[in-house]
Amino acid sequence: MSSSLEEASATIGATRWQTFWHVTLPSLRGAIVTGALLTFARAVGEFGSTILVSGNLAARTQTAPLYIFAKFNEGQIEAANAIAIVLALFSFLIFSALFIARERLDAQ
Amino acid sequence: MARMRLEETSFGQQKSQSTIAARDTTAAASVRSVSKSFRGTIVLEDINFDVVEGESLVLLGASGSGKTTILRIIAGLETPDTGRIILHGKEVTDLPARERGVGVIFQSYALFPQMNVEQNISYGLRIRRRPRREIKEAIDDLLALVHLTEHRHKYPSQLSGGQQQRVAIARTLAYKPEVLLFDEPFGALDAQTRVRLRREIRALLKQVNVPSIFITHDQEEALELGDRIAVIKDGRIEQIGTPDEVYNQPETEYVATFLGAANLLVGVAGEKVVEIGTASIPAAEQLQRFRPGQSVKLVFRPEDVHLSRTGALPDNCRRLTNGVIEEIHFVGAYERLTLRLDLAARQPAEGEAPLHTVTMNTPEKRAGVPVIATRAKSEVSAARLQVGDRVAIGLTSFRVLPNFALTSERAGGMVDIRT
Repeated sequence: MSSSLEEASATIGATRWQTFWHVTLPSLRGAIVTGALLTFARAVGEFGSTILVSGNLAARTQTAPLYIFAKFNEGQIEAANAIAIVLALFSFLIFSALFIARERLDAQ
Repeated sequence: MARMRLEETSFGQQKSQSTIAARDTTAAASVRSVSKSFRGTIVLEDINFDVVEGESLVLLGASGSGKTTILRIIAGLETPDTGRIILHGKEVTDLPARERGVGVIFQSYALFPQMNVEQNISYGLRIRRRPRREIKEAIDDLLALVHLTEHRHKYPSQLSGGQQQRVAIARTLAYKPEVLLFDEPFGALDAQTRVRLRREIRALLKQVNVPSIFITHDQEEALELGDRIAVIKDGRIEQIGTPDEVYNQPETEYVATFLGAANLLVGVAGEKVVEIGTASIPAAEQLQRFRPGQSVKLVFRPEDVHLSRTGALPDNCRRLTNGVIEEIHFVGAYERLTLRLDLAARQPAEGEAPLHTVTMNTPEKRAGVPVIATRAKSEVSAARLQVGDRVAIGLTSFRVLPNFALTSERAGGMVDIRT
């Protein structure tokens, strides 16, 4: 965003906080939402740090990637695939949401 | 509050008369000896001017002349190194932008993209927490004023450049600014829209009667928008005056050449005439401020040149010399002629100061000095001229300016080798 928006807000009489709340933050809305979704998507797929820090306890610290890993090791390839498909759908949804959000922001 | 302003303006006639009366007494905005430098580079040097109630002042200068910095200092977006800013008698030099009550119309308009027209216009009132009813009334009045009532729910990206500009103006008028500042308001628009919007804004400003300062590098825009024009060069005001004054009585060569075209001839001041080589032109009144023998510049506009094949010139026209027509161009509304004046080098008299010979001693100048003249259609059809014709050349109006070498162009300016 250009700094002239913030300068305009200041000349109109807004305090710094009002400028941040009414002008800066709304302009960054798209970037913040996109960042949050991407971070979430990345976190869902996290494997290494999860298994190192909190182990692989079923129904307690077991995340979806760990579940896939465990089932694959046990030879239950069908169960691993089922969860993998759920994850794939999930990421598809997130990206769809991103594209829709971006389209809306572009229209503005 | 905004409503009151609009009601007042419906008596436009009365209002404008009272402002003329008030003009001499109140300064809406004063800039006092403001200087500013960025990292050792002087951007502004001792800027002084006043804007009176209801007046529009244009700061005219090339890019990099410092005009935008003046505007930003008045708005409070930049702090001056020295000097003061006074708005309606109140010193605001140390106040932040938000407490100054100045309306800035940015070049890009800086409309808030996520707010619609209504929300943009009401922003100043909303952050001041005015009652909802007052805000609603103000929005209605302002939308009517800038003719955008049917676009009230649109977003800035759905509006044309001119409409966006009107939203930006309405947004600042909402909180009744002390002064309106326009930063290159027509820079982003095409030539045709520019001319139309210029007139619209001029009419709008006369209606709301808020003093305004424009910034532009376009001389035509300056002449049309300004009640007064300040010509700025290298961070200094070269001249400030009405459009008529700066155009017809330029005080420096820069002002003469920046506002429209001008011919320059270097000459020597005599008792009652300016001598240019072998030619001379009577200029007793203007020579009073020069001593005889001083090097001067004769400045005149192409449209003030009068040509005559018979040698007979009208009464209001002072004869300069003869010349030959070298080129004729037809440029639509007028005809442009290049002339070469007969100005052979003047031989210095015995014991005469060398200054007299300085002016005409280059081969090019000995061959004759080229000047440009323009003739309106009526003149053209009255007396057809052809390339090669010898004509008498007279001037209906001209200026005699000091010819400082290596000095500031400002009359009386001190030696300044910086430029």
